[in-house]
Amino acid sequence: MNRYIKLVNFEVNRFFKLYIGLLIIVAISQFVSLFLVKSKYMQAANDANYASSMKATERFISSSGLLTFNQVANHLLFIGPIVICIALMMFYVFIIWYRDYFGKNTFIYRLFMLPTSRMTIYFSKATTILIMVLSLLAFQLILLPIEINVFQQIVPSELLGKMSTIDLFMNSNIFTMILPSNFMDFIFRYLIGMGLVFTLFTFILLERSYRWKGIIFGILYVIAIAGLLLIPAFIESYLFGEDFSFYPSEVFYMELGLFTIIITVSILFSKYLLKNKVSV
Amino acid sequence: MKRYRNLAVIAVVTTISLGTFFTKVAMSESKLPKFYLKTENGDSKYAKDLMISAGYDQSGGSGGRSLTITTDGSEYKDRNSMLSELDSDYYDLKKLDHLRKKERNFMRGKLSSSQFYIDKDYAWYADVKGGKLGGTYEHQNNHFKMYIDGLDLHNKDRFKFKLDIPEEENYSYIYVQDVQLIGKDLIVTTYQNKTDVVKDKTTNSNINVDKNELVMYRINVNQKKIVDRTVINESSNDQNTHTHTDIQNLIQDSDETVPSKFDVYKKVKLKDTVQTNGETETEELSNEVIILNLETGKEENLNLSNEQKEQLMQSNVILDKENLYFITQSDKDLSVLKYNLNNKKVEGETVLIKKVDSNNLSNYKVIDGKLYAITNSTENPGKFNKDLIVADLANGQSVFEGKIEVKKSKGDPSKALKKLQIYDFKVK
Repeated sequence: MNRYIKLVNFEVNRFFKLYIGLLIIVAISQFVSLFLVKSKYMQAANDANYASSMKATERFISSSGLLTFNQVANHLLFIGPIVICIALMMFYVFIIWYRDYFGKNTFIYRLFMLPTSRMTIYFSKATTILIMVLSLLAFQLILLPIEINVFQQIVPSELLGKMSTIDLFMNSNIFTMILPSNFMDFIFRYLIGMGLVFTLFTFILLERSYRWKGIIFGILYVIAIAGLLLIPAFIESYLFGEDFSFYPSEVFYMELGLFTIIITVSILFSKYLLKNKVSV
Repeated sequence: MKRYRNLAVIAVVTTISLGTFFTKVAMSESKLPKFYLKTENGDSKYAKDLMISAGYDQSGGSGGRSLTITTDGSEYKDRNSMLSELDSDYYDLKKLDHLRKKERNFMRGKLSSSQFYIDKDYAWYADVKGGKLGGTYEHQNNHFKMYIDGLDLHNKDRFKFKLDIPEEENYSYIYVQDVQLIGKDLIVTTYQNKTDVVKDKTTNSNINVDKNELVMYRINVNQKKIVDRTVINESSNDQNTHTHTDIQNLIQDSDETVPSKFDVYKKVKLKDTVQTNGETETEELSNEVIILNLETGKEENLNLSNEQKEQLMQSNVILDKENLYFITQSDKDLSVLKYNLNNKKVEGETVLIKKVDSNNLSNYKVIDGKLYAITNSTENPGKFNKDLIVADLANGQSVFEGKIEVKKSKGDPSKALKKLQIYDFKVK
């Protein structure tokens, strides 16, 4: 356990500089989007000369609507950094292994020489990915109330549609995708995400074990996983005839079972590869 | 310990931040006001199975939350949860939810309650499927097939078969409107859409002309084949006079799965006029209620006096099982005339129902011989009551009067009611 925490700490520290950089980019870009949305809206408001009379204000609001934070949340500079973070974390699933191979003085050699199970290294890497993803989410959650506050300060109150962080998550936008407000949904979505991470880890270890041939094995493995997940749909449309259909709950429990299988198989397969096949 | 600083900070901040978020979500849910339907007068049994669907608008920008209100309380829908949707009661009829629990296998994939026929011995379901895999349809050749599924409710025998539909290749869409069992025959009425390409004489270009047909299939259950196919009626389109006739389903809010030997629909003649601003306005020229006796396969005339026919033209016609109701609104009240399809005559006198608070009763339904109406009086400033009345159509007496009230709210109850909007209601 101690070794595992040490390794996680070690991995987190290696990522830390890049992580701080990411946080700064997200914060700056989102604050810029906030001001851009506001000034664009205010320009239209001033063009309509909204402040001249009560009537003009009303007329402008009925034609353009109130300005809410939701408009900011749909701005490119607001969503952009979130998408970049997601992409970078996907990429980091690969980097976290390959930098040990291709970095300075092949670090993997030293890692594998550690008097600990190689699976500890494997799990510490997976944990790092999960921690980093969740902490990025947490950062966004801390940033949002501040952004909303600033936004509500700079927009004239008569044009402002008030909104809290929670309201934002109840609307359909990027946040309902990355952070479902229902706790069980949140757990299941990130469980699916971890399934994907373990599958990609297996792909990487296959490549490390068999090199070029390993890439082909890896692709076959990923295809097999995808095929496994399509089993319920396959049964529904081909096995039982055209007018058969599963209940949504049945599909859900089947997929849940399949995900458990996928995660277990990926971990066991990786264990086998790490123990017997992976070369330094 | 110093070297664990980064990890510790990240772990603690993440846990607190996510924890706070989910607590806040839970708190904001519990802050939402609870509504219920309060009985003010009459017997609460009429409102017991009533489900009112409504929307609650918390604040300007956040959009509304949808909820259902009953006499017991209210329940908000969690719109971002896929899990809460699983295995919920998804039929609009209680008895279908019961049947789903009892006959889980039979009820698979059967979603629309109007496609059921249920009597004390059998349950039948008919469906037409076709089109491309992604749910898209072409003008022609959609390979539609009819799927029939029956269940003997006593000995659990299943009767499941697939039928080829004659001339299906000509249709762009077919959907099942009603299923009835008459003797040993299953009568499936479908609404079918055909798109004809016609050459416009003046511009010489191809234009698509939609045509809707009401088709009746008589299916012999023992032989598992269609023994008769009749186009009962069809819409028409006159390009020259800009008039068209439409086949319209009659509004029916009662249980549609119960046996009925009539198919009732409306044929409406409409005229399009292009306004000066380019918009098309459609005006109803005439309408005709048509009754088809499924036993004989013949149309039946409405047995009405000339005066009653005149009234029919201006009224809203509602089908409630074996009865037709002609409802006419005047400034003060609703007058209701009942026509019994079985006895082929008007029964009783015209019944007058007083309006509540002189509000316009736009949202009313006839269910099992009772008129249910909700008044949504937001126009009246300072008063945001949502009243519900149930009146017996046999004598016009009100049997239930109720009001939506706030059960529990942190703030001002009248403010909560102000933000409540009633969309619809149904009797489950």
